[in-house]
Amino acid sequence: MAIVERLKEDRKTTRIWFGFLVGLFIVVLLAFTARWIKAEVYTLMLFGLIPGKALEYPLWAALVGLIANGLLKFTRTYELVRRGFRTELFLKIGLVLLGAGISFKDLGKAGVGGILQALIMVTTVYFFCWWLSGKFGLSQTLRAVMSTAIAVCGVSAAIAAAGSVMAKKEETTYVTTLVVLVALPLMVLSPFMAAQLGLSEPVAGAWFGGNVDTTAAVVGAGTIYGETAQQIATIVKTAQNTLIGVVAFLLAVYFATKVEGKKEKPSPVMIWQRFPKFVLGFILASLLFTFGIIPAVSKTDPTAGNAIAAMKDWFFCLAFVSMGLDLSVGEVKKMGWSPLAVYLIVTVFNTILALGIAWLIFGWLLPV
Amino acid sequence: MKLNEDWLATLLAFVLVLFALIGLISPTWIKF
Repeated sequence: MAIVERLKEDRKTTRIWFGFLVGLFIVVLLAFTARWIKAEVYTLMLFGLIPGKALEYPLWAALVGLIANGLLKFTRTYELVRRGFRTELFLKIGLVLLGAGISFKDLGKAGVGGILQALIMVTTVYFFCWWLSGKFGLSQTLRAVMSTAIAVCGVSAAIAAAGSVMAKKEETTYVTTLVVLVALPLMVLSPFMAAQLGLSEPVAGAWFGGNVDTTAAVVGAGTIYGETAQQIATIVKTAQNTLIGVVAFLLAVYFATKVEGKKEKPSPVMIWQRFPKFVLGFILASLLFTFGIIPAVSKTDPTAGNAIAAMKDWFFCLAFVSMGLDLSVGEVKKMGWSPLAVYLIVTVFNTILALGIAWLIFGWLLPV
Repeated sequence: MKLNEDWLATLLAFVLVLFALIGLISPTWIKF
């Protein structure tokens, strides 16, 4: 009997690994496809209106991801290979590599503005979403998960908040689906709107960092707008990400004491547990670059800095492809339309507020 | 200490940085 059980277990493990490797292979193949499309359309004028060079790789990567997502679901192979779609892992590797090209001085300068913006945005958006979702009659746990996702940093914030308030699994899945569903069009529309408004790259980057919910889409929007916009967007979003531990802890305290009426409070150790540790890697990489251990990118004589910058783009491309692959629209229908209405209203509020705050801080108060 | 996704990403990124610094990953063939 034990042997049969063990064989079953072995077969399951083999299946998991097989699915993971095939999924990973699909992501890499699609990333190559996205890069190929980008290169092919670069010199074209699409529909006689849009210059191909304005359409950067995040758009193509997310698009091929979405198409593959549909195909995999149609052929019923999605569940087998989904373990290879590691959006967060690819993104975090890309972010640490991005840090290896930003000087510590620039990081500090933009970081101060980023933290200031994050503090204003997180508190205002959080309480607005909490209040509005209460008016729409959403459950306490869904309110907490949704407010954290919109106010802090999308998918990972939703998961952290869900852990703090013991949200139902379907509530977490619903919010993470909404995050990706709204972030994908925002990733493309925000740079377009920023160009129409004539925003400078730092202001546009800070705006993307504040208004696009998930970090992958923030980086995507920044990449479409320009190199400085990519850096500022990432720094601002990272500053926002660092607050997740504090929010998760405060939520856990509130739910334990006020909602569930428990006497013992959760430990502040949670702040460190939830802290996004890759931020430390990002800072360390920036320090190595600042002290000249990592060379700068050179246009004439390619250095290790060029290799690191290229790897950063590859990993971001893998993350954008995975983001398209991750989307699951069916979840939205299950939960009904009132949470969707709340999410969309708060997103509009978030977008307008972030524009004002980004302009105030990065255009006027602390220009980069 | 448990190796979560954050630490794993940081570790992998620094391994890649190291490979680039010692010339194992060339800027020519990794070009995006």
